[in-house]
Formats: sequence, structure tokens, C-alpha cells
Amino acid sequence: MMRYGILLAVLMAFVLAFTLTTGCSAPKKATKEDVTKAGTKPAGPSEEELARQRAEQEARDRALREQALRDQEARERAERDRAAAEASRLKDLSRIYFDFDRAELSAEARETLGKVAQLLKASPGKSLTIEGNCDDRGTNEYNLALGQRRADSAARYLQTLGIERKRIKTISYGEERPLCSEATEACWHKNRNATFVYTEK
Amino acid sequence: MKKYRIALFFVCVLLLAAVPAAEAKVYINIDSPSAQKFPIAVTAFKNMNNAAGQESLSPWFADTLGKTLEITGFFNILDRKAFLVDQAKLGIATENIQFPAWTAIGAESLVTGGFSVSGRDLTLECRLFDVVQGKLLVGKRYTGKIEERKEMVVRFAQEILIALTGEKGLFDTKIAFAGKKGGVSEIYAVNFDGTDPVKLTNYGSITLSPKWSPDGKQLSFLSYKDGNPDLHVLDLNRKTVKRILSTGRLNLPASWSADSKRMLVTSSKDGSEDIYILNLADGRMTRLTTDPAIDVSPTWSPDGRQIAFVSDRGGTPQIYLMDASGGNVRRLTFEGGYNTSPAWHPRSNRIAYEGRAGGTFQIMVLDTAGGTPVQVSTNGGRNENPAWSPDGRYIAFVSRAGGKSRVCVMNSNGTNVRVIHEGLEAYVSPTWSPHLNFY
Repeated sequence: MMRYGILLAVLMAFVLAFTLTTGCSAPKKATKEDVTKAGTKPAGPSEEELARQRAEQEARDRALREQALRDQEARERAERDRAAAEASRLKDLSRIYFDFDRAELSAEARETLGKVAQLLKASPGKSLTIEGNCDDRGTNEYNLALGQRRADSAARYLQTLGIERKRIKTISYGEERPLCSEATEACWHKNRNATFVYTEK
Repeated sequence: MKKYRIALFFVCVLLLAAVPAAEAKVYINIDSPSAQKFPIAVTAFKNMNNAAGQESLSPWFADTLGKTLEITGFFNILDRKAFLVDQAKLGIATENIQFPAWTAIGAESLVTGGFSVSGRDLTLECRLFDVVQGKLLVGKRYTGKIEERKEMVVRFAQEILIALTGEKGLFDTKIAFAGKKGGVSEIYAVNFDGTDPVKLTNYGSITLSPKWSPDGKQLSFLSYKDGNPDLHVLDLNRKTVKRILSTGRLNLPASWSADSKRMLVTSSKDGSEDIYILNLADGRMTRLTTDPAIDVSPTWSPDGRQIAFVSDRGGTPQIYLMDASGGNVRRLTFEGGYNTSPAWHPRSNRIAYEGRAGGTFQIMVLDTAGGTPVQVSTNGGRNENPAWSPDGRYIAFVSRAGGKSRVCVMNSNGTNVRVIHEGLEAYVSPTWSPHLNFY
């Protein structure tokens, strides 16, 4: 009894499927015939009709071109925004500062270095040069050594955050590359830094 | 470098050596800190063949010799208006000298001279007298071209210095230094008296820390000209430059060994900034310090047995001493929180350095046995980077005052400060040549 039931169901499904397939193919045929009829239509459109069609086509082309232009502008704007955001991110990540005659990293410097490490991890093609700088108080030779120490101290911290040492170069400029030259604490502070220069491999 | 003039031929005739060398008396004890300036009279020179049109040479010789002697800082050149007699008219030989007329105005020495001109040829006679004892100390005759008269005067000034101080002066020495302008620094050199400035490098980079070799033929320096702080040596005669140390990290030249074959350097090649001996023949480096702190600016003692250097191992930069092998390290300076740039006196156990005093930096001198440092620079502003002259009688240094930087020379007791170069934005690291014998 059960076996007959299954057989019947399969048969019914088969019939139904055949009916549906045939039903679907019918309108397609009709469409093809319509197209053939339209293509072989003997009488052409009037001059006005052609002009209207041309104008419509031109309007469509123009709209397309304008759209393409708008898309292009949008892409460029997005690229500019992205580059600006990247530049501003790099600018935030361009320098850390030190106390007089010290090379130890402040909490703020470590925070910046954490972001530098994230950036380097996210961009494996980037390498980094760390330039150590000093204010002009103190001795020029000692400051060359101190600048090296500042750059090294930043490099070592990045290493502990998992950045490969070979991606980092350090160089000391001592007091030779000041950002400003006033004899004020604000200017001295600015000049006591490690500056990060990123390069694409 | 000032070129020898082959054409210049000096005939130096010792007219009379009244004082035998064995009995040589030191008239001026330069090393005494309380030394008074030595009063000396320089008369107008006698126009011996009455050469027409050369009358102005008579005071020119007196003025030039007076100024040359004055530069040394040892002399009080007496005003010619105060002279009681016209020695040029009376005669310049010993028998003509009116000794009482010179002691009466406070002179201890007298210089007389005469010249004769024939065409472009000049003959110059110079005499130095001890007017207290009434005797001739030294007499010389020079012949050459009239254009060479300045060199003749400087040569006789050297003779006066030998006679009165026991040693010739420093007119044949130069001082090199780094000068900065527009973010670029180059090495320059100038004569002891501030004449004949020359630019020795032209890299448009950062070039610093010149150090003159004891043989006078080479100058080592640090330059970023190839991108990194590398050491180079300039051969002053051949005008060639050789890179001697490049590690991709910081390298600083410092003291040369007495034989000019080795150099003390600071390098961070092994991690921290440490002191090494660099063998110039094969580039081999021997490490002397291993402390993780900054160790920089080493200088050998004159006998090569000890080294003074700067270290911040105690928390602030201070001067330390160690044996030449790197052992027996001991701290020398304790006063003030920032003492750097040690320079070992060429003939004694004194070290000049730059120390923070009263909110600014001054040149200090301290005996290596310790004791109280003596502040020798007293002019206003900030005074730094001391370098001794080869005879230890002078210190070259950089003075920063009123927004201006200058290279200066002072006598070792801090008197007679003279500017030898100015006009660039900033100066650093003067270094004094040995005698180069160009006079």
C-alpha cells in the first residue's frame, strides 16, 4: 500500500514537471517571432522619429558620461580622503618627545609607539627610520650619542611589540636638525624627539 | 694651508748671543696664573738707506710687530708717544741705546729695527734688548721681497717669544672647527692670529668634530655626507678624503695617538655608545668601555697611559678617568650636573672641560688628582668645547652670547679673549693643530 503511494507521487510529480516546462517555453517562442516580425518591418520611421530617437540616445549617452564622471570624482575624493586620513594618522605617529638629557619613554611616547606598531603590522610593506634629536643645550658630541640612544630606545620598544628589528633603522642627528631655534622650554621640548620616517619597500 | 713661498729667502744672522743658552733666563713665566703683562717698547724702524717713498714702513714695522706681540696676550706694548728718546735717530746698535731712557718709562725690553729697500728687495734688521741689564738678547737680519715683510715680522716675533718665554709662539699653528649655516655644517681652519680662513670641506651635509692629527698632516671628522654618521680622514697635503669607519650607526672621532696611527673613537656599533681604539692601518677596533650608559668624547693623557671621557653612568654626564686599557674607571667631576668635552693639558695633569655653572656653561680646569675646579672663562654668555694649544698656554673655545656664536682663543688663565672667527650661525668643536712650521 505504502509502496503504491510513493510510485503514484513520483508519477504525479513527473507529469507536473513536464506540464510546467512546456508551459514556460511557449511564450519564448512567441517573443522570438515578434522580434523577427519587427526586424523585417518594411516601412521606416519618419525623420522626426529618427531625430527624436537620436536626441534620446544622446541624452542617455550624456547621462552615462556624467554618471561616469561623477563616479570618477567620487572615487578620487574617496582616495584623497583616505590619503589625508593616512597622512594625518602618520603625522600623529611621526614623533615622540623626551625630557632633558633623558632617553626613557614617557607613557605618551609608549602609547604613540603602540599605534606605530599597529600601523607597521597592518602594512607589512612599510619600513621605518627613527631619527633621534636633541635640543641645543649641552654638548654637541654628547647630544649625538643621546640622539642615538633616543632612537634606539624607541626601536627597542617597537621590537618588544613584535616589530622585526630589520624593518627599523635608527640614526642620530644630535642637535643638528632643530625644528625651531628659540631659547624657550616649548622649543627645546619640540627639539627633544625621535622622528619617524615611513618608507614603502 | 698657507703655501711656502719658495722665493722668500731669509738670511738669519745671530748678531750677538749675549746670553748663553745654559744661563737662559725666563723673563715671562707664562704658566704663573698671576703673571703680569711684560712691558715692552717697540721703536719706529730706521730707514737705513733713506729709501724714498718708504717712510711709512718705519711706523708700519713697529705697529705690526707690536700687534703681533700683543696677540700672544703676554705683553704690554708701551705707547710710542710716551718715549723719551728717538732711538731710530740715535742708532739701533747696542752702543747707541739709551737704556735709562727706556727703564724710566717702565720698559723691561726694547725692540729696535732698521730696514733698507732696493727696488722690491728688502733687508730687515731686528734687535731685542734687556734694558734693565743693558744688553742685547737677540738680533736677526732678514732679506726678501718687500711683499714678504709681514712674514719677517712674525718670524722675529717668534724669536722674541723664544728669548723671553723659552718657547716659540703659535703663529705657525691653525685652529680648525665646524661652522654651521642654513642647516649645513662644514670644517674650516684659521691661523692662530685669526688670519687666512679656509673652508676645508664642502659637502652640503652635516660635518662635525674635526680633530687634528699630532703629525699635523691629517684631520679626522664626522660627516653624514654618505647618509650615515661615518668617520673620515682628510689628508691636508694631498687634499684626499678617506672613509675610515662606517657602521650604519653613530661613530665619532676623538683623540689621536701621539704617533698618529691610532684613534680613540665613540661607536654605537655594538649597541650602546662605547669607547674603542681604532687602528688606522687595518681598521681593527678594541673596545674599552662596556657600560650600558653613554660613553663619549675620550682623550688620551699626554703620556698615553690614561684616558679622560664623558659618561652618564652616574645619571648625569660627568668626566671620568680610566687606564689606557679601559680598567680602573673613576669619576673626576662631582660639582654641577653637566660636565662634558674634556681636553687634557698637553704637558700636565690638568683637564679643561665645559661645565654647567650658574645656569650657563663655562670652561673649567681641574687637576686629575681632583680638587676644586677653576672656572677660567669669565666673559658673558655660554662658553664651551675647550681645546688646548700645543704648548698648553692657550685655550680655543666656542662662545655663545647675545644670539651670536664665535670661535675664540684665550690665555689659559682666562685673560686676553680674542675672536678668531665669527659670522656663521653657530660654531662647534675647535681643534688646535701642532706647529706646522709655515713661519
